[in-house]
Amino acid sequence: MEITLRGIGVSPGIAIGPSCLYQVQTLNVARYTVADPAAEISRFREAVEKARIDLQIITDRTAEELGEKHAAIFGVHMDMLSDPAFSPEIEKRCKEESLNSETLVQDWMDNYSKVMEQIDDPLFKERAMDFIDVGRRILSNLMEKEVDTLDHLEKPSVVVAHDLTPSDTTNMDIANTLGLATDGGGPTSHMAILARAFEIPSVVGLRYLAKQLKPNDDIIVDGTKGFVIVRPNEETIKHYEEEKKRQDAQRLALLEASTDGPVSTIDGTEVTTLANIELLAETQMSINAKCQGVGLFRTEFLFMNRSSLPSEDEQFHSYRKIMEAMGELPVTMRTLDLGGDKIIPSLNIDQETNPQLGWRSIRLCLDRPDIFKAQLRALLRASTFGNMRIMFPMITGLDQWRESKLVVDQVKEDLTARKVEFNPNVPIGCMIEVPAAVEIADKLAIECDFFSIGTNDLIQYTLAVDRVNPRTARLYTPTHLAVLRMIKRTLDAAKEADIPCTICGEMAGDSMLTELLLGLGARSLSMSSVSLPMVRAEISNTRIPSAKTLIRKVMDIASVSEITALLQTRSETRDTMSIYLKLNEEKKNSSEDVG
Amino acid sequence: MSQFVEEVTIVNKLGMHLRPAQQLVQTVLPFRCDVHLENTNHKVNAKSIMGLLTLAASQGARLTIICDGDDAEEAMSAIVALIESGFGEDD
Repeated sequence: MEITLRGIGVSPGIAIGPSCLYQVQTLNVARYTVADPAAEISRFREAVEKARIDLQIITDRTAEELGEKHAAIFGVHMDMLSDPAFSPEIEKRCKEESLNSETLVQDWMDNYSKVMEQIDDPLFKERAMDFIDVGRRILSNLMEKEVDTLDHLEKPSVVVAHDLTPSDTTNMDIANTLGLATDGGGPTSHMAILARAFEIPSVVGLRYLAKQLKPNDDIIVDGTKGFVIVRPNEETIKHYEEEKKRQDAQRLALLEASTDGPVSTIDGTEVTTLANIELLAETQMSINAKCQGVGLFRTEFLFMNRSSLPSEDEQFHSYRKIMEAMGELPVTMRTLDLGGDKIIPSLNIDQETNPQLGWRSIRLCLDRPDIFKAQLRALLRASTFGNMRIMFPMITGLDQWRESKLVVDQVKEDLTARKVEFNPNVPIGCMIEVPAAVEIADKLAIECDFFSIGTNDLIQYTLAVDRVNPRTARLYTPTHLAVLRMIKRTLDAAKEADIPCTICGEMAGDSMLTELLLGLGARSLSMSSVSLPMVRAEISNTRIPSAKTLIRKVMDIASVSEITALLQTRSETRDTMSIYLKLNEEKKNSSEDVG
Repeated sequence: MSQFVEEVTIVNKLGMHLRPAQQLVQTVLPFRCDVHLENTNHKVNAKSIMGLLTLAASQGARLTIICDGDDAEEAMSAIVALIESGFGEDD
């Protein structure tokens, strides 16, 4: 029977396909006694041998694709297979109790993972996963079922999960992931950011999806409207297939229609559009989407999913590759912004009760100059390979800004003394994403080379909303008057001090808000590559005077729902999409005439 | 049959996590004697990486090493040296 569930769409588009439930919990294991324990032990040994062979292949492949370090964990799994606490124990129980292998492996798994989970130390607690991982591998061999892991999907599927941690997503089989749907998560969680980066239709906050799903269920994900349909009937599938075709055609048309370079409004005001990225793979996508550069390069990826900190050289090589990929286009690097849902075991951070307000980001860096300086050295060394800017996240005050800037100066002195090449004129700016920074934006603007308004966190701190919590995610409303006023104040302060100010964060990529932001005074927007075509189209369909009129109207309305309704009506009136497609048709026809 | 018992403290920052546990197993495996590690709650087989992991020995943990067998003395020296060197990890 077809079920529709409502969540929050975090990455636009439609996905239709078989579901693949990713769960870190037990497979349904049958429990029975066996007549012939010796035969059962043989069966068990075969399953173990197959696991050993598979793990060797995976180890080799991972070492090749991602390096030895990432492959090491599979070596550990292989060691577990030869561990005296594994096979001998299970074989002994089989002989004594005549139970089937699945039951014995399941018990073994439950036993060890329970012990590990009771340990407080987070590093060890994590190891519970290894027991589960190995156990599931053996179980799936015994049950002759494929293991559900995200790094290798057997066929193109929509991945469904209760939750997807950042670590879960770093090894995703992108090519075969048609869509993502999770019970938890919010619009700006790590998984959502990745989904948009790779243009995978995704919905989060579904609450009860994982439970509803049965094996082999088909599923439709509507990442634009924010719902999923489980076990869709034929009619529904047909409707969505047509809708998908239409949307894909539209996107293609938009891309073709958009020209290179900055976009101008109808009345000739130039607006710069940039991309937010975090992986080398995204540089090409952003260039294809006609960005004028990278407005935000998130450096956290280098620090994730590993047991030790990346060295200065490792970082340098990664940053250099990004700079070279973007050529002459400007790239703004953000220094380490760790915290919240981006947990990194290598720093051995104790569990904080309030991580969002805690020891993270620039605070962590100032307390750990070894980490901060290593990153800054790597960045400055890479600055000779392109057009780089550097910015600090989460700046809350002038003192903190000056302290951070001082560290950059120290690093520059050090590099100069060692005769290491770097660009001495790299602009240094800061992210305005904390209410305190907005309040003193005028003071900061005097000392910063540029601003970047981080709307994601700004909205969070201003409205006191946890962006990742599905229960509060709906309270995260960019069109709140408080947020709009904060953006305006920051833009004004930047203008007064004559420094560039970019709006990055999901707001910049929301085409419903483009006219609004332009009316507030924004002339530089940075967003996920997938949002670039539509926003560029909106800009070219805007008149600044009309945008300013819109702002006057909006600033009078304190209610979010009224503002949203107003923007909705406005969007229909503007009808950017059809105007754009019409323009495209005309262009094509005229070139056909000429040709 | 000889038995050797000694106490050691785990010195390295991240404790006896995956890599040190692996190193310990590889160190004791060649010896014929039985090797066990004990803390206040558990006694585990030091030739089992799983056993070692369940010990969850973090920095500062006191462990008792018990070696039973012909080459127990050599085994003990090797183990103590490995643990006291912090498993060769710098901070």
